[in-house]
Amino acid sequence: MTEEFKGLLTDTFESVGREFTGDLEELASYMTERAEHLAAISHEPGFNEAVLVERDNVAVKAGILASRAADLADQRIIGVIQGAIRIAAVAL
Amino acid sequence: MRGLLCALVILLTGCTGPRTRNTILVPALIEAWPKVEALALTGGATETQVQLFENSMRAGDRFGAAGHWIVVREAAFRGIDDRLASGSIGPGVAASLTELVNNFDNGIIDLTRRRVL
Repeated sequence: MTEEFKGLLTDTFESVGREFTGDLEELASYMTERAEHLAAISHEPGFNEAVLVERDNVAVKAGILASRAADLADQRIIGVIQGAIRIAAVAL
Repeated sequence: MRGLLCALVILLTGCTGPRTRNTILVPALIEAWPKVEALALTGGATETQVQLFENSMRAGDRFGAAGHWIVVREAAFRGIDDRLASGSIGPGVAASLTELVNNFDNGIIDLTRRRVL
């Protein structure tokens, strides 16, 4: 799944005309971790809220990684991350 | 939330390399803020304490923002505990929210440490 997320992130950044020069491997690995966490808690009260929370977790992590590597992106990336992480959680 | 947007933009003014943060990190923190704010208010933070944090950010007062954030952060953690105890969220959801507050914390640290006096 991490490789799939890496591909998704790469494609997403390219689609908005940017290059993520942060640690893409670390971000994709983090996305995998959060998707697996969501898959494990899908039965809990507040799960739908947790999906949005995990989107924000990945987005903030991306921001921190990017700010350290001086990268650019836009809000569309956050939307793609939300969709991908929810799909992945359902698939798991 | 619009207030925090303006505050974060002002805080970034004068940063070296603002492009590095204001197109991913800042929007991400703005998106996350309402959830963190709600947790903090649930956990006993007052509107005044939350406003002090926002005001510090708006004024570009990095040290003040960092200090007020500590109060908000601790209240947010209490808010998670309160919601877990009430049964409105499960332990795994609580873990997601805890991760969010920790990530927000790292984001604030990243923003407030950039200006070296």
